[in-house]
Amino acid sequence: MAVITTEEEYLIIDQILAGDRHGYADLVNKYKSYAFTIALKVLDNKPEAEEAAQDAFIKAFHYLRSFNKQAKFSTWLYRIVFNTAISYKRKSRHQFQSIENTNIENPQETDSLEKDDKQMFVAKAMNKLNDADKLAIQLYYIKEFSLEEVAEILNQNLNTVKVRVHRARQRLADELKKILKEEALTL
Amino acid sequence: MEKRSTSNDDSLLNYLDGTLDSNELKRVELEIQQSTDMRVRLDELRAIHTILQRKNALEIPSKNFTQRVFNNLDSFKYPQAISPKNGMFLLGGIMVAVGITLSLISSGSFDSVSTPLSLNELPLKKEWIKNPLPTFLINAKQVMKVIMILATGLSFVLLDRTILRPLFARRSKMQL
Repeated sequence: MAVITTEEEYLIIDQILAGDRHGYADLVNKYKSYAFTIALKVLDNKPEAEEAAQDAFIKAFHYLRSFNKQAKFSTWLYRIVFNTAISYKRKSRHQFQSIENTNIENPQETDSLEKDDKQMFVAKAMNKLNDADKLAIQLYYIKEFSLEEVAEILNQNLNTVKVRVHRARQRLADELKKILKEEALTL
Repeated sequence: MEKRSTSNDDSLLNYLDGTLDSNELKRVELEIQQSTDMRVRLDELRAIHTILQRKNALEIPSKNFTQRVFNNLDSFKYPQAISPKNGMFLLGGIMVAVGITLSLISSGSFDSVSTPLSLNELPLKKEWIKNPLPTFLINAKQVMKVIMILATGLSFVLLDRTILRPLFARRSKMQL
Protein backbone atom coordinates (compact mmCIF):
# COMPACT_ATOMS: atom_id res chain seq x y z
CA MET A 1 0.00 0.00 0.00
CA ALA A 2 1.34 3.44 -0.91
CA VAL A 3 2.15 5.80 1.94
CA ILE A 4 -0.31 8.68 2.26
CA THR A 5 1.21 12.07 3.01
CA THR A 6 -0.34 14.64 5.34
CA GLU A 7 -1.38 16.76 2.34
CA GLU A 8 -3.07 13.74 0.76
CA GLU A 9 -4.84 13.08 4.05
CA TYR A 10 -6.25 16.62 4.05
CA LEU A 11 -7.32 16.15 0.42
CA ILE A 12 -9.10 12.90 1.34
CA ILE A 13 -10.79 14.65 4.27
CA ASP A 14 -11.99 17.44 1.96
CA GLN A 15 -13.36 14.82 -0.47
CA ILE A 16 -15.18 13.03 2.36
CA LEU A 17 -16.67 16.30 3.58
CA ALA A 18 -17.80 16.96 -0.02
CA GLY A 19 -19.67 13.64 0.03
CA ASP A 20 -17.18 11.14 -1.43
CA ARG A 21 -16.64 8.64 1.37
CA HIS A 22 -14.50 6.09 -0.56
CA GLY A 23 -11.23 7.78 0.38
CA TYR A 24 -11.92 7.05 4.03
CA ALA A 25 -10.83 3.45 3.40
CA ASP A 26 -7.27 4.72 2.82
CA LEU A 27 -7.31 6.51 6.17
CA VAL A 28 -8.73 3.45 7.94
CA ASN A 29 -6.10 1.21 6.36
CA LYS A 30 -3.31 3.58 7.30
CA TYR A 31 -4.27 3.94 10.96
CA LYS A 32 -6.14 0.74 11.83
CA SER A 33 -3.15 -0.99 13.44
CA TYR A 34 -2.35 2.00 15.63
CA ALA A 35 -6.01 2.43 16.59
CA PHE A 36 -6.37 -1.26 17.38
CA THR A 37 -3.15 -1.28 19.43
CA ILE A 38 -4.21 1.75 21.50
CA ALA A 39 -7.62 0.19 22.17
CA LEU A 40 -5.94 -3.09 23.08
CA LYS A 41 -3.64 -1.36 25.59
CA VAL A 42 -6.69 0.12 27.31
CA LEU A 43 -8.98 -2.91 27.13
CA ASP A 44 -6.60 -5.91 27.24
CA ASN A 45 -9.13 -7.84 25.20
CA LYS A 46 -8.76 -8.34 21.43
CA PRO A 47 -12.42 -8.67 20.30
CA GLU A 48 -13.43 -5.72 22.42
CA ALA A 49 -10.45 -3.65 21.27
CA GLU A 50 -11.34 -4.37 17.64
CA GLU A 51 -14.93 -3.28 18.21
CA ALA A 52 -13.82 -0.12 20.05
CA ALA A 53 -11.34 0.76 17.29
CA GLN A 54 -14.00 0.28 14.59
CA ASP A 55 -16.43 2.36 16.62
CA ALA A 56 -13.81 5.09 16.93
CA PHE A 57 -13.29 5.17 13.13
CA ILE A 58 -17.06 5.48 12.65
CA LYS A 59 -17.22 8.32 15.19
CA ALA A 60 -14.25 10.05 13.57
CA PHE A 61 -15.99 9.83 10.17
CA HIS A 62 -19.12 11.50 11.49
CA TYR A 63 -17.24 14.18 13.43
CA LEU A 64 -14.75 14.85 10.62
CA ARG A 65 -16.22 18.32 10.12
CA SER A 66 -15.00 19.27 13.59
CA PHE A 67 -11.41 18.21 12.79
CA ASN A 68 -9.11 21.22 12.89
CA LYS A 69 -6.48 20.96 10.16
CA GLN A 70 -3.96 22.77 12.33
CA ALA A 71 -3.58 19.49 14.24
CA LYS A 72 -2.42 16.10 13.01
CA PHE A 73 -5.26 13.85 11.87
CA SER A 74 -3.57 10.85 13.50
CA THR A 75 -3.41 12.46 16.95
CA TRP A 76 -7.04 13.62 16.67
CA LEU A 77 -8.06 10.10 15.68
CA TYR A 78 -6.03 8.39 18.42
CA ARG A 79 -7.67 10.58 21.02
CA ILE A 80 -11.10 9.44 19.78
CA VAL A 81 -9.86 5.84 19.90
CA PHE A 82 -8.55 6.30 23.44
CA ASN A 83 -11.77 7.92 24.67
CA THR A 84 -13.91 5.26 22.97
CA ALA A 85 -11.82 2.49 24.54
CA ILE A 86 -12.09 4.13 27.97
CA SER A 87 -15.90 4.30 27.64
CA TYR A 88 -15.93 0.63 26.55
CA LYS A 89 -13.87 -0.24 29.61
CA ARG A 90 -16.30 1.63 31.87
CA LYS A 91 -19.32 -0.06 30.30
CA SER A 92 -17.90 -3.52 30.07
CA ARG A 93 -18.61 -6.09 32.72
CA HIS A 94 -16.07 -8.34 31.14
CA GLN A 95 -13.30 -9.68 33.32
CA PHE A 96 -10.25 -8.38 31.53
CA GLN A 97 -7.33 -10.66 30.92
CA SER A 98 -4.18 -9.60 32.66
CA ILE A 99 -1.03 -9.02 30.61
CA GLU A 100 0.41 -12.05 32.32
CA ASN A 101 -2.33 -14.28 30.90
CA THR A 102 -1.87 -12.81 27.44
CA ASN A 103 1.76 -13.80 27.48
CA ILE A 104 0.97 -17.32 28.60
CA GLU A 105 -1.58 -17.71 25.82
CA ASN A 106 0.94 -16.64 23.16
CA PRO A 107 4.11 -18.57 23.93
CA GLN A 108 4.97 -18.71 20.22
CA GLU A 109 5.67 -14.98 20.27
CA THR A 110 8.77 -15.52 22.34
CA ASP A 111 11.69 -17.32 20.84
CA SER A 112 13.73 -18.29 23.86
CA LEU A 113 13.18 -19.32 27.47
CA GLU A 114 15.28 -16.42 28.72
CA LYS A 115 13.28 -13.87 26.76
CA ASP A 116 10.02 -15.47 27.90
CA ASP A 117 11.11 -15.30 31.54
CA LYS A 118 12.14 -11.67 31.28
CA GLN A 119 8.84 -10.78 29.63
CA MET A 120 6.98 -12.61 32.37
CA PHE A 121 8.91 -10.72 35.04
CA VAL A 122 8.16 -7.43 33.33
CA ALA A 123 4.49 -8.36 33.07
CA LYS A 124 4.50 -9.10 36.80
CA ALA A 125 6.22 -5.79 37.52
CA MET A 126 3.88 -3.97 35.13
CA ASN A 127 0.87 -5.12 37.14
CA LYS A 128 2.27 -3.29 40.15
CA LEU A 129 2.16 0.07 38.34
CA ASN A 130 -0.89 2.30 38.62
CA ASP A 131 -3.20 2.36 35.58
CA ALA A 132 -2.20 5.85 34.43
CA ASP A 133 1.55 5.12 34.49
CA LYS A 134 1.01 1.74 32.84
CA LEU A 135 -1.03 3.24 30.01
CA ALA A 136 1.41 6.11 29.48
CA ILE A 137 4.37 3.76 29.17
CA GLN A 138 2.51 1.34 26.91
CA LEU A 139 1.46 4.13 24.55
CA TYR A 140 4.95 5.62 24.58
CA TYR A 141 6.44 2.34 23.43
CA ILE A 142 3.99 1.85 20.59
CA LYS A 143 6.07 2.43 17.48
CA GLU A 144 6.66 6.07 16.53
CA PHE A 145 4.70 7.66 19.39
CA SER A 146 6.42 10.68 20.87
CA LEU A 147 5.85 11.98 24.38
CA GLU A 148 3.96 14.92 22.84
CA GLU A 149 1.60 12.56 21.03
CA VAL A 150 1.04 10.44 24.14
CA ALA A 151 0.27 13.63 26.09
CA GLU A 152 -2.26 14.71 23.46
CA ILE A 153 -3.90 11.29 23.28
CA LEU A 154 -4.22 11.10 27.06
CA ASN A 155 -5.20 14.78 27.24
CA GLN A 156 -2.51 15.38 29.84
CA ASN A 157 0.29 17.86 30.30
CA LEU A 158 3.55 16.94 28.53
CA ASN A 159 5.57 17.13 31.75
CA THR A 160 3.07 14.92 33.57
CA VAL A 161 3.38 12.28 30.85
CA LYS A 162 7.19 12.55 30.88
CA VAL A 163 7.21 12.03 34.64
CA ARG A 164 4.83 9.07 34.30
CA VAL A 165 6.94 7.40 31.59
CA HIS A 166 10.21 7.95 33.49
CA ARG A 167 8.73 6.88 36.84
CA ALA A 168 7.16 3.77 35.32
CA ARG A 169 10.47 2.66 33.80
CA GLN A 170 12.33 3.31 37.05
CA ARG A 171 9.78 1.24 38.94
CA LEU A 172 9.88 -1.53 36.36
CA ALA A 173 13.67 -1.66 36.56
CA ASP A 174 13.52 -1.73 40.37
CA GLU A 175 10.78 -4.36 40.39
CA LEU A 176 12.61 -6.50 37.84
CA LYS A 177 15.76 -6.33 39.97
CA LYS A 178 13.76 -7.28 43.07
CA ILE A 179 11.94 -10.15 41.36
CA LEU A 180 15.14 -11.53 39.86
CA LYS A 181 16.85 -11.32 43.27
CA GLU A 182 13.93 -13.20 44.91
CA GLU A 183 14.00 -15.82 42.14
CA ALA A 184 17.77 -16.27 42.63
CA LEU A 185 17.30 -16.74 46.39
CA THR A 186 14.63 -19.43 45.92
CA LEU A 187 16.87 -21.46 43.59
CA MET B 1 20.82 10.24 47.91
CA GLU B 2 17.39 9.30 46.57
CA LYS B 3 17.17 12.67 44.77
CA ARG B 4 20.55 12.15 43.16
CA SER B 5 19.58 8.65 42.06
CA THR B 6 16.33 9.94 40.49
CA SER B 7 18.20 12.67 38.62
CA ASN B 8 20.73 10.09 37.40
CA ASP B 9 17.85 7.88 36.28
CA ASP B 10 16.32 10.81 34.39
CA SER B 11 19.62 11.45 32.61
CA LEU B 12 20.01 7.78 31.76
CA LEU B 13 16.43 7.50 30.50
CA ASN B 14 16.88 10.63 28.35
CA TYR B 15 20.11 9.05 27.10
CA LEU B 16 18.24 5.86 26.12
CA ASP B 17 15.45 7.89 24.49
CA GLY B 18 18.03 9.91 22.53
CA THR B 19 16.62 13.23 23.74
CA LEU B 20 19.85 14.73 25.13
CA ASP B 21 21.53 17.63 23.36
CA SER B 22 25.21 17.26 22.43
CA ASN B 23 26.59 18.88 25.63
CA GLU B 24 24.37 16.81 27.92
CA LEU B 25 25.18 13.69 25.92
CA LYS B 26 28.92 14.22 26.44
CA ARG B 27 28.40 14.84 30.16
CA VAL B 28 26.25 11.73 30.64
CA GLU B 29 28.61 9.54 28.60
CA LEU B 30 31.49 10.74 30.76
CA GLU B 31 29.53 9.98 33.95
CA ILE B 32 28.71 6.50 32.63
CA GLN B 33 32.40 5.87 31.89
CA GLN B 34 33.47 7.03 35.33
CA SER B 35 30.77 5.44 37.51
CA THR B 36 30.18 1.71 37.90
CA ASP B 37 26.81 2.40 39.59
CA MET B 38 25.72 4.42 36.56
CA ARG B 39 26.75 1.61 34.21
CA VAL B 40 24.85 -0.98 36.25
CA ARG B 41 21.76 1.24 36.37
CA LEU B 42 22.03 1.93 32.64
CA ASP B 43 22.03 -1.82 31.99
CA GLU B 44 18.93 -2.27 34.16
CA LEU B 45 17.06 0.56 32.46
CA ARG B 46 18.23 -0.60 29.02
CA ALA B 47 16.88 -4.09 29.73
CA ILE B 48 13.45 -2.61 30.50
CA HIS B 49 13.67 -0.29 27.48
CA THR B 50 14.43 -3.22 25.15
CA ILE B 51 11.70 -5.46 26.59
CA LEU B 52 9.11 -2.67 26.34
CA GLN B 53 10.11 -1.94 22.76
CA ARG B 54 9.65 -5.62 21.87
CA LYS B 55 6.51 -6.03 23.94
CA ASN B 56 4.67 -3.01 22.56
CA ALA B 57 4.92 -3.67 18.85
CA LEU B 58 1.94 -2.77 16.68
CA GLU B 59 -0.94 -5.23 16.82
CA ILE B 60 -2.66 -6.23 13.61
CA PRO B 61 -6.48 -6.14 13.55
CA SER B 62 -8.64 -8.62 11.62
CA LYS B 63 -8.53 -8.66 7.80
CA ASN B 64 -12.11 -7.40 7.40
CA PHE B 65 -11.58 -4.45 9.77
CA THR B 66 -12.01 -1.75 7.11
CA GLN B 67 -15.01 -3.52 5.58
CA ARG B 68 -16.70 -3.68 8.98
CA VAL B 69 -16.10 0.03 9.54
CA PHE B 70 -17.74 0.78 6.18
CA ASN B 71 -20.65 -1.59 6.85
CA ASN B 72 -21.47 0.28 10.04
CA LEU B 73 -20.77 3.85 8.90
CA ASP B 74 -24.46 4.63 8.51
CA SER B 75 -25.59 3.01 11.73
CA PHE B 76 -23.93 5.75 13.78
CA LYS B 77 -26.19 7.68 16.11
CA TYR B 78 -25.12 10.98 17.60
CA PRO B 79 -25.14 10.79 21.39
CA GLN B 80 -28.15 12.20 23.20
CA ALA B 81 -27.85 15.63 24.75
CA ILE B 82 -29.54 14.28 27.90
CA SER B 83 -28.68 10.82 29.18
CA PRO B 84 -31.54 8.53 30.40
CA LYS B 85 -30.32 8.97 33.97
CA ASN B 86 -30.35 12.78 33.75
CA GLY B 87 -33.66 12.58 31.89
CA MET B 88 -35.16 10.67 34.81
CA PHE B 89 -33.87 13.26 37.29
CA LEU B 90 -35.27 16.10 35.17
CA LEU B 91 -38.60 14.31 34.79
CA GLY B 92 -38.75 13.70 38.54
CA GLY B 93 -38.03 17.39 39.18
CA ILE B 94 -40.77 18.49 36.80
CA MET B 95 -43.25 16.07 38.35
CA VAL B 96 -42.48 17.32 41.88
CA ALA B 97 -42.86 20.96 40.74
CA VAL B 98 -46.15 20.13 38.99
CA GLY B 99 -47.40 18.29 42.09
CA ILE B 100 -46.57 21.20 44.42
CA THR B 101 -48.15 23.73 42.06
CA LEU B 102 -51.30 21.63 41.66
CA SER B 103 -51.70 21.33 45.41
CA LEU B 104 -51.28 25.11 45.73
CA ILE B 105 -53.89 25.65 42.99
CA SER B 106 -56.35 23.24 44.61
CA SER B 107 -55.86 24.89 48.01
CA GLY B 108 -56.84 28.21 46.43
CA SER B 109 -53.52 29.98 46.93
CA PHE B 110 -53.74 31.65 43.53
CA ASP B 111 -57.48 32.45 43.59
CA SER B 112 -57.15 35.99 44.86
CA VAL B 113 -53.99 36.83 42.92
CA SER B 114 -54.80 38.75 39.77
CA THR B 115 -53.61 41.83 37.97
CA PRO B 116 -55.18 44.00 35.25
CA LEU B 117 -53.23 44.34 32.02
CA SER B 118 -54.16 47.48 30.15
CA LEU B 119 -53.05 47.50 26.55
CA ASN B 120 -53.29 51.33 26.59
CA GLU B 121 -50.21 51.39 28.83
CA LEU B 122 -48.09 49.68 26.21
CA PRO B 123 -45.46 52.00 24.65
CA LEU B 124 -47.21 52.36 21.30
CA LYS B 125 -47.34 55.46 19.15
CA LYS B 126 -50.55 57.46 19.69
CA GLU B 127 -51.19 57.91 15.94
CA TRP B 128 -51.52 54.12 15.53
CA ILE B 129 -54.34 53.86 18.09
CA LYS B 130 -57.72 55.22 17.06
CA ASN B 131 -59.92 53.65 19.78
CA PRO B 132 -59.02 52.88 23.41
CA LEU B 133 -57.55 49.35 23.77
CA PRO B 134 -59.18 46.77 26.08
CA THR B 135 -57.96 45.89 29.56
CA PHE B 136 -57.55 42.21 30.54
CA LEU B 137 -57.62 40.75 34.00
CA ILE B 138 -54.80 38.25 34.39
CA ASN B 139 -55.52 35.60 36.96
CA ALA B 140 -52.53 33.81 38.51
CA LYS B 141 -54.53 30.57 38.71
CA GLN B 142 -55.08 30.55 34.95
CA VAL B 143 -51.43 31.37 34.29
CA MET B 144 -50.34 28.51 36.55
CA LYS B 145 -52.74 26.14 34.77
CA VAL B 146 -51.20 27.03 31.40
CA ILE B 147 -47.71 26.49 32.85
CA MET B 148 -48.86 23.12 34.24
CA ILE B 149 -50.15 22.03 30.83
CA LEU B 150 -46.86 23.06 29.19
CA ALA B 151 -44.82 21.30 31.90
CA THR B 152 -46.88 18.11 31.51
CA GLY B 153 -46.37 18.21 27.74
CA LEU B 154 -42.64 18.75 28.23
CA SER B 155 -42.43 15.83 30.65
CA PHE B 156 -44.09 13.52 28.08
CA VAL B 157 -41.57 14.60 25.42
CA LEU B 158 -38.73 14.08 27.91
CA LEU B 159 -40.04 10.64 28.87
CA ASP B 160 -40.24 9.66 25.20
CA ARG B 161 -36.89 11.05 24.00
CA THR B 162 -34.60 10.34 26.92
CA ILE B 163 -36.01 7.20 28.51
CA LEU B 164 -38.44 5.20 26.38
CA ARG B 165 -36.81 5.49 22.93
CA PRO B 166 -33.28 4.59 24.15
CA LEU B 167 -34.76 1.72 26.19
CA PHE B 168 -36.63 0.21 23.22
CA ALA B 169 -33.69 0.84 20.89
CA ARG B 170 -31.41 -1.09 23.28
CA ARG B 171 -33.93 -3.93 23.56
CA SER B 172 -34.34 -4.28 19.81
CA LYS B 173 -30.51 -4.19 19.41
CA MET B 174 -30.18 -6.99 21.96
CA GLN B 175 -32.78 -9.12 20.15
CA LEU B 176 -30.91 -8.83 16.82
